[in-house]
Parts: sequence; C-alpha cells; structure tokens
Amino acid sequence: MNEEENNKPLNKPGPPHAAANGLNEKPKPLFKEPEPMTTKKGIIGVFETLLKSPHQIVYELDQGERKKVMFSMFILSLLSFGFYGLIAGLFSGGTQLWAAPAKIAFGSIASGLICLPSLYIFLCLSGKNYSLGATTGLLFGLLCLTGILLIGFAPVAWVFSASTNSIYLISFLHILFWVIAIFFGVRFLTSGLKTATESSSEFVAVWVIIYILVSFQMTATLRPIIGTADDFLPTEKKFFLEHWSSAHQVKSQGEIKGRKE
Amino acid sequence: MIFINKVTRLCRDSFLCEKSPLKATDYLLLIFIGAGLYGFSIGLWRGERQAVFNFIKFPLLIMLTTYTTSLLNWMIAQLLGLQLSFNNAVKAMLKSYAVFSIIVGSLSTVSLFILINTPALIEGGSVTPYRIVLLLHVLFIAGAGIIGNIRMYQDLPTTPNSKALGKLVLSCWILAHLLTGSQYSWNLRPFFGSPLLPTQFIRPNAFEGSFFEAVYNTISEVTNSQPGEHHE
Repeated sequence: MNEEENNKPLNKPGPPHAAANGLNEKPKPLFKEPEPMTTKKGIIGVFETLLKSPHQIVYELDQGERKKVMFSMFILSLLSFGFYGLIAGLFSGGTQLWAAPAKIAFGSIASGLICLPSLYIFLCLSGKNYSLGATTGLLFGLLCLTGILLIGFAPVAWVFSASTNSIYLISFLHILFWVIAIFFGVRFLTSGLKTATESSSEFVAVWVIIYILVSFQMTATLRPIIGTADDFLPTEKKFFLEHWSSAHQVKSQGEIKGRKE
Repeated sequence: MIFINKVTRLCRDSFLCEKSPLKATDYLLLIFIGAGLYGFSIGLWRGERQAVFNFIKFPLLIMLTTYTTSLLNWMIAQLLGLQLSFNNAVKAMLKSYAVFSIIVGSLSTVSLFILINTPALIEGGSVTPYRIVLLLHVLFIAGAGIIGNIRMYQDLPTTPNSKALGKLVLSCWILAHLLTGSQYSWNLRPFFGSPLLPTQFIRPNAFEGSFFEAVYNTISEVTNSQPGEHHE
C-alpha cells in the first residue's frame, strides 16, 4: 500500500476494487484465470502439487475442494513430521523412537494453531480477502510444505545422527534444517497472498516472526526431543534461549544431572 | 459467526479506507472481547481471579481513556482546523482501539503459550523470566498500538494538502491518551499482580500517587541502587 492510499480518509471513496469487497458479496477469486489442481486431491497428489505447482493448492483452498485438500495436507503434515521425528529420535534411540515423532508432529501443528488467530487478523488487516477456513488451509499448506522439505533433509540428519555424539551439533543441525524448511513454507504462504491481491504483506512478516518464536519455544516446552530424560515432558519451565544455552553447555550427551536434553 | 464477521469487517474496511458500517456499540463489543481476552491471558499468570479481574479491567481502561479524552480531543481538532463532528471523533478513537483490541486479542493464544512456559515468580527467585514476559507484552501492546493509531490517522478527514494537520491532530490525541491512559493504568492496577501481594480488583491505595511519581521513584531507586518494590 503506497502513501497516497494510506492517507485516504474513511469518509472518502476507496479504490475502485475496494467497493466490491463487502462481506455480503461473494469473495473475489484469488486468480484471474482459475487454475485447479491437475492431480488427484489425495496425499500423493497434494505432495506433488505443493512442490511443483503450489499456486494450484491456493486455488483449491479458495474456491475448490478445500476440505479434501486440507485433510490431505493435515495427514501429510503428520506423516512427514512423524517421519522426521523418527530420524531425530534415532540419535538417542529407546523411548525417543516414538516420543520424538509424537513431539515433533504435535509441536509443529500446535505452533501453527497457536498462531492461527493472529494470522487471520493480520491477513484481514492487510486487506486480504480470505475466510477463516481458507486461512487455516494456508497455514496447513505452510506446515505441510515444511514437513515435506524435512523429509528431504531426513537422510542428511540421519547421517549426522549416526556419526556424532555431540547433542549440540545435532540440535544445531535440526534447527538449521527446520529454519530452511520453514523459509520455503513461508514462501508458499506469501506467494499465495501475492497472487490473491496486490495489497501489502508487512503484517505477514510480523506474523512470521511470532510464528518462528512460538515454534522455537515449542522445542523447550516439549523437551527433550533429541536427547533423553527421566520424564516424558519437562518438570521445569524454561524459555528456549535458556534451554539452548544449557544444551550448548552440555555439548555431549548426559553431562547435566544425567540428562541429555 | 457474527463476531468473526464484525472483526473481519473492521480489519478489512480500515485497510480499504472505506466508511465502516459498524456502529459505536460494535466497536465497544470488539474492544470488550479483544482486550478482555488479552487481559485474561495476562492475569492467568497470577491466578484465575486476577484473570477474571483483567478481563473486566482491560476494556474498562480503554473505555475510560477514550471517553475521558473525547471532549478534549474533539476541541483540539476544532482548534487546529480539522472539521470533525464530536460523534465522528469518538468513533475514530473507538475504531482505533477496536483494531488494537482485536490484534492483542488474536495474540492471546500466544500470550497463553508464553504463560505456560514461564516459571512462577517466587520470593528470592530469578526475575529474568518475569522481565522477558513483561518485555513481550510491551512489544505486543506497542505494536498493536502503532497499527491502531495508523488506522486512526486514516480516519481523519484530511486532504492531500492537509496531511501535516492530520499528523498534528493525531500527535495531540496520542499525547492525551498517553497522559490519561497511563494514570488510569496506575489507578486500576494490578494487571500482572505481584505474587507477594494479595489478588485484588484494585489496590486500596489506588487513588494515592500517580503513574509519573511511580516512574520517578523507580528511576531514583535504580540510580541509587536501592531494592525496589515489585512493579505491577
């Protein structure tokens, strides 16, 4: 939104396209030329489309078979985060083989859902013409693409898991892979928004920062994800910086009170 | 569903600079729910009673500030040459606070998540988590406040030639809100609630002293390196 648009008073007529944006009217389609998914809307179809033609997913979320695509993305997110969690759990073995997949899958989806209300409000404030359902779909698209990319990183993570005993190094690598994956997930979200309208996306940038911070905090809330501990969930509350700092001090497994977090 | 429609309409209409079909009562409802939820999530840190008190006090703080300054703000606008009716001036302020309330309200899930992860403040324990939480809330409130004020500026009936006038009026309004709002926040304390003091709707000495005296005393304590009270 440029400065001139910013300064238009409420009582003056808005831009021509604005007048047609009332809630009682049918929302405008996201694309001038509709482009539905060319593959089936099952898990494999969504997997392929997210990688090759993510804009088709955005179309389906807006005016296609939203529920079907969202369900496939949800299942795909669970499977992909679960698979990556299994690889992450291989570092410690034992109970972490099931605990790490469960925590990573739950934590990733919970982080997204915690930030869903603010995403919807920030999209509205940006002038985006999305319903709450479509916003939820976009969020699942972000999560799903992040999970898919993590599957790609899984073999690399496994090589390091099998080679090193340094919990610090492996934690750093997992966070690095996650940040790269989330970058592409966010790119899916923002590219979908650019296609939708020509309005600004500053609010989305603010939301992305909040989402990343919440996700980082989730690593401390659900610890241990990489190492092991006596308890399934922590008894002591910590902020993620404090948790990472203590992991940095450990450097190798089990140096703090027998814990390997 | 009606509430979500009102929220959506408020946010999108303000972006599109269109005349909003929402009434002042709609704005009050949005303020009550949005700010109330956020206040509730902050108060839970201290306990359920504080959360319920905050659910009432946060919207109350906003409404008191708006209506106390409304006459002054309308007069300032008239004196500076901005043609704005009293009703429209109040509506612009309420709309700005409604946007603010909806933003902080949408962040209340994040606020609750922070709360779950914050160690309890105990006597003799570390105050760092308490400061981090305070800082995050300040960031949330400041960010939402900035967006709300930008929306209020858009509502002022300025022309391209009177942008400076609009900015001047907005600056005066913000000053009036800061002056009044900070004092009301002092009178209506506690919001966070010190664990060393009992949970109360307002303190028995609510109308003793002022926000600015408290700030001055705190700065004096810090510079003199004397142990200070818990800030609420």
